[in-house]
Amino acid sequence: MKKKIIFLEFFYAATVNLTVFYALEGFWPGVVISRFSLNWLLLIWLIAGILSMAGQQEKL
Amino acid sequence: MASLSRRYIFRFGLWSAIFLVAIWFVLAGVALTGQVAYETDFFEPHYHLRPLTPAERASWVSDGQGQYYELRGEPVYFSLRTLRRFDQARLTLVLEDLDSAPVVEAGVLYDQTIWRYDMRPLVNSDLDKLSRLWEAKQSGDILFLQKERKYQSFEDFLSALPGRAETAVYYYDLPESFTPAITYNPCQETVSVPWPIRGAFQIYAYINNEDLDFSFSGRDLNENQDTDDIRLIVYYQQAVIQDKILADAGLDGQSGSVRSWTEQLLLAGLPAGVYKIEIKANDDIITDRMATKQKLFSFDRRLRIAGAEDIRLFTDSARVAAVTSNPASLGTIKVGDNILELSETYRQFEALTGTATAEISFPRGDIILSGDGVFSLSADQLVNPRWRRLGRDLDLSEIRYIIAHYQTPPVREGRTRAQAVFDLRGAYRENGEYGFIISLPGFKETDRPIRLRSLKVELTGRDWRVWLADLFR
Repeated sequence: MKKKIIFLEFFYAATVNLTVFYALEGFWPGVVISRFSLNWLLLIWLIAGILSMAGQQEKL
Repeated sequence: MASLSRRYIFRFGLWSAIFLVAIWFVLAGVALTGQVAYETDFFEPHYHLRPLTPAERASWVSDGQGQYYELRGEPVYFSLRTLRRFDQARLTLVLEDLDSAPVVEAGVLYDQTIWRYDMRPLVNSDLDKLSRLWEAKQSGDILFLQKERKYQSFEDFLSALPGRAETAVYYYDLPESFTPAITYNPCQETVSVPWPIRGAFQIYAYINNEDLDFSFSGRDLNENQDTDDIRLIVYYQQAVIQDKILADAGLDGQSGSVRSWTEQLLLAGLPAGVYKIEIKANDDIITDRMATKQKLFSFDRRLRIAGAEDIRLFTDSARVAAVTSNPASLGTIKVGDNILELSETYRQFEALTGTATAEISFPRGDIILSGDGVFSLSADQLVNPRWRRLGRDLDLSEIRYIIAHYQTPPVREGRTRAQAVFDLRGAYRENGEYGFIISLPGFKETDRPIRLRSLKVELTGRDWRVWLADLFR
């Protein structure tokens, strides 16, 4: 698969990941952040977003 | 087409991994086995084991000898944050430099209204020394000491208890009992307590061929935003015989609007003996008037006398402590032949009583008095059914037997590994947190600090088999 598709899929996955984990935290506070910092996930989501946008820019 | 299906397979793989991880988080949080352990050596922040407070008594140190907490005062507190409720907690502390703290105890918060902790012993160097000097028998976590062997076993001792004057207990409950010093006849007149009492208090009252008769009335100040429930509990031989929540004394919340309350306790046909009456209330509640037909009654361990003047009472405590938040209440408190100088607000001062029964007098109220015994209006009214407790003020010359719920903790390479087990089923839990206390009785701020090297909590609770059984019941 082309790199830009991989980056895009990682961005989608990171978005779903953030949504699911934040929803879990909202329903049961501490269930995620007791083991894993969501800040890292946010960082991964940002990086994935930047890379996927960079991939789209290349096409243009 | 092929690339599209590869893309969807890739997406499916990623999203499945996410949901599997999410399910794993939930299962880990639920703790299906019913067991989970949290441990910290204070190297980095821990989500479940919150930092020790207050900072002026417990400071985190990182030096050439590692990371640890230096305890320079007592008590200190920490919270245990959990994702679900548990039934039992085993607390393990690794401690160093205990020379200035011969006694270390810990507790879990049970009642947030009256700040009652369920305490357990961790280290008692005095008891460890006595174990080497006296005849000692360890049966599980029960330690039985005899100055000279009279009983062959602990069971023999329980079946033929010696006199209270020669027996001391340490975190062990022997049956409470009280016998009046003189021939007892019930009183026909009503006795009133001459000063108002703020917040919670407990009374021991002796009755014999009479009703248990108390009346209370007072005010709800509504100064703080907590709900102001008043609970009246009556115990006989450590069992609850009445538990009543009084009608709402006032408006909830921080209204500032003062409302009055009144309650009558009248129980007839009760067997002779000592009864404990507990008024559980926060500091918004003032008991302005307390009256009783009982001739013998005393306040147990702690009493906050509200605004009053020329207060006089008696105690059988070996040591009395006083603290006030009111600058107008600062001054001299006479405790037996000794003087207790209350010179600062929000600081506890202590004095030894020096006698078996001591008179306490002070000019102004709004002072919290506490001691290891009871307080009463006259020396003749002292009612204390509890057995003598092993502590720094107990004169061991008269004691021949000690029963303790205690095991000497192991010491390795100068580090003491002390453990205690707590029942969490009735413990107070707010926002997912249990509150713990570490107490060092007698430890002063000028003493050499002790080091807390690590802290571990092992939790046990309901597991998947219990839940499954409940589901199909």
